[in-house]
This record gives sequence, structure tokens and C-alpha cells, in this order.
Amino acid sequence: MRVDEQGFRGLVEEHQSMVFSIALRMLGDRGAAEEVAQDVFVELHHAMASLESDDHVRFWLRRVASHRALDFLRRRRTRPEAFAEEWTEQLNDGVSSRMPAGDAMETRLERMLLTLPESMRAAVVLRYQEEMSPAEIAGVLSQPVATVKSNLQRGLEMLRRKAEVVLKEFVRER
Amino acid sequence: MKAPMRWTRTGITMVVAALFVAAPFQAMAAPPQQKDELFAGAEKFAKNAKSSTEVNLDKNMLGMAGKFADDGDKEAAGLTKKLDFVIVRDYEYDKPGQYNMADVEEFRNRLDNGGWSHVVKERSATESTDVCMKTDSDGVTELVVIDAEPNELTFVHLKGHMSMSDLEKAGSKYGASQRKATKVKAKVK
Amino acid sequence: MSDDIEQRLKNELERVAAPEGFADRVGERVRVWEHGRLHLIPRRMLHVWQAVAAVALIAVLLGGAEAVHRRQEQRQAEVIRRQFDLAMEITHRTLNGVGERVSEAGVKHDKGER
Repeated sequence: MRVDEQGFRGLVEEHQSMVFSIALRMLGDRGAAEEVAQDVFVELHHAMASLESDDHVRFWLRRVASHRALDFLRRRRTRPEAFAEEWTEQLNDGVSSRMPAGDAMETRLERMLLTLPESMRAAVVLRYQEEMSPAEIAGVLSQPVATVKSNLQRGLEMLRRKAEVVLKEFVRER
Repeated sequence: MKAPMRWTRTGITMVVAALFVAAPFQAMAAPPQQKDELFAGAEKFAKNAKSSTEVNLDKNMLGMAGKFADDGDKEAAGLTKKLDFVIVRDYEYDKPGQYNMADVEEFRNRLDNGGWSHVVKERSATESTDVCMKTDSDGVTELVVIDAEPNELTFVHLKGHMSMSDLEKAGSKYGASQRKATKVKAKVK
Repeated sequence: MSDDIEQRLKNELERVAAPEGFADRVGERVRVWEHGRLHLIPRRMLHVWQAVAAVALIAVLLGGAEAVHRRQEQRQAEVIRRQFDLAMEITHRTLNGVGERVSEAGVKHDKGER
């Protein structure tokens, strides 16, 4: 695909929310998410000649955003356990109590998501944020479909268990 | 990380280039010589000599001499191609008795074996001369001269297909020798 | 409960808006990259020129080495040539001397016979 400067800006505006959201849900940090998202679009600019259609661009952006976010996590050597600890501490400090009830619950769900292992987190984000099928996720993450399905099941199971604990805590706080 | 790698690569290239460039000089550093079995030990005659000349040229060195020969030295260049080696030892003395004739005898005896044909065998109280050859159907293949005079001792060993006229032509460019040769020829007539 | 968490994920994991000015910042980075690439092209060309210069230098070195080698070989050949000439001169002189003595001996012998 050949696009001029305006055309490329149009692509950025069209997909920036998707790329930024994938990065944010994977990293849990707006600054890091923006850094990764910018890298992805700069990379897109280099790769435009090899992309054939809008669908191809969307697939490419999801794929590269997921991989760059995972790369970022590996570079930062972020462990899910560390997030879990951080999440528990913040919960105990009453960070979420400063927010309205609905926002607090959303924040808690996103924080729970960050406690999942990286591959499970990526599968869940692509499945529920991007509404992709397991087969599409398998293509984006370069994983077998069975692995993606397994990660989704195990990820949901872990989130359920964590949600039960959080819900109890939330009810007790209220 | 890239810069040191680049320097390492450049360094290796330069070393290889240096070795490549230096290789020809290395090869020239020590030219090989023909093993001199017949006259081995003759250097002892240099002890009391006022001047000594020792020439030992193998096939490669003769080839090199022929390669850069001038146009005027065609005969000599031709002879360098024909010869396999040239060994000459010449010792000059101030006065007679500076070397032991019995020592020369030891070298003459070496010619008794090895299929040498004596062309000249001359003996006197103060002088002796041996000229030996090996020949095949094409002519002379090897020539040895041991000439012992009161003030000079000469050993010559040439190998290669040669004729006496080749030797004469090669040596004739030296005026003195030429005059001497002409004189000898005149006397022989 | 399982339906509940899935439903919540579907409802709550919506895309969020990118930060204000995101597209501008991306555009700026792309421009910086393009500018860098303009500088990168001469740098690549520089590598080509470095390679050409290196090859030329090696060629000059080899050419020079060959010339020096040839001159040395010629000098060595001259030395060998002089040695050869000397060897031939001695050989020639010795053989002539031998011939002279042999012929003199022959003349004396002839005179004696007469």
C-alpha cells in the first residue's frame, strides 16, 4: 500500500485507539503503552509497502502491537506476581475507593487482567477487547489454536477466582 | 559493540593483506643452494688463501639469472637454461705450499667412483689436473675439473646438457680469457 | 459466575482513546526517522566508498609490493648473474689453462720424438 503523509495520518487516527488499548491492557501503564504504540506506528510506516489492504493493516497492527508489548514486558522483566502484589497493596491502600463504584470495578478487572501470565493476558485482551476468534488470535500471536483456547480457558478461570476474592473484599468495604 | 567488531574485521584484513604482501619477500629471503657432495669439505682450502671464490647456483637461481639476462648475453642466458647447477671453488695463494696436495688427493679419489670418464689426468711434482666428464648420446651431461697449481686451486662441477663450445661462448666475453683461449688455439695449431 | 466474568470482560474491555496528540507525535517521529534515513543513505554510500577505498589501497599495496618484489628479484638475479659469469670465467680460464699445458706437453713430446 502506498499512502502519502495525510493518508498515513488517517491510518494512525483510525487505529490509534486499538493499538494503544492493546498495549495499555498488556502493560498496564499509559506511558509505556504510548511508547509501544508509537513504535508500532513508526514500524507501520516502514512496512507500508508490504501491506496490501486495510484488513492486512489491521491484522498487522494487532500482531505487531501484541508482540511489541510482549517484548516490552520481557525487557522490563515484569512478573505477573509483582503486579499481583502491587494490585493487592493498592487495593488495601484504598486507591479504588476514591473512584465511583463502576469505575472501581472496571479498574479492578483491568488490574486482575494484569496479574495473568503474559500469553494468557494477550489472548484475553485480543478475545474480549478486539472480539477476535481463537483462530484469529492464533494467527496474530503465532501460536497453535489449541494453545490459544487453553490460555483463554485458564485465563478466565484465574480471573474468576480473583474476581470472587475481589467481590468479597468490595462488598465488605461497602 | 559494532565498532570494535568493525575494527577487529579491519585488523584481520590488514594482517592478511600484510602477510600476502610480505609472502614474496619471505620466499626470497634465503635462496636454496645445490648440495655439493663432490666438493664437500673443500672450504678448508680457503684457510691460507689470499682470495677465495665460492659459487653455488642451483636450477632455480640459474633460471632467475637467465630471466633477467640482457640481450647481449644470449649465449650465457642459453647456458643458464641448459645447466642444472654450477659449483665453482677457486682459491688463490700468495706463494706455493699454502695448501696440502694430499688433501686435494682426497677429492680426486672421489672421481674414481660414480662413472666419471677422465679426459685429462695430469700429475707433476707441483701441479695436478683432473678433467672428468659424464656423457650421453647428446653430449656432455656433467663436467668436473680439479686443477691444483702452486698458487691456485680450482674446483669446477657443472651439471646439465652442454657442449664445450657453450662453455667457450659463455666464458669468451671476458677479454683476458678470450685472448688466452686464442693463444692456446694458436699454439695447438 | 463464569458467564458473568466473560460478560464483564466483553463490556469492560473496550478500546480506550489514545492520549491527546498521539497522531501528531507519531507524525513527528516518522519525520525524524525520514530525516535520519536521508542521513543514512550517504552513510551507506560511505560504506561503499570505504570498501572501494580499501580495495584500491590493497591493489596499490599489491602493485607496489609486486614492483618492489620484481626490483628485488632483478637485483638478486643480477647478483646471481655476476656469480654465474664469475663461475664461467673461472671454468673457462681453468679449461684453457689445462688445454695450454696439455698442448705444451704435446709439443715437448713431439720435439723429443724428433
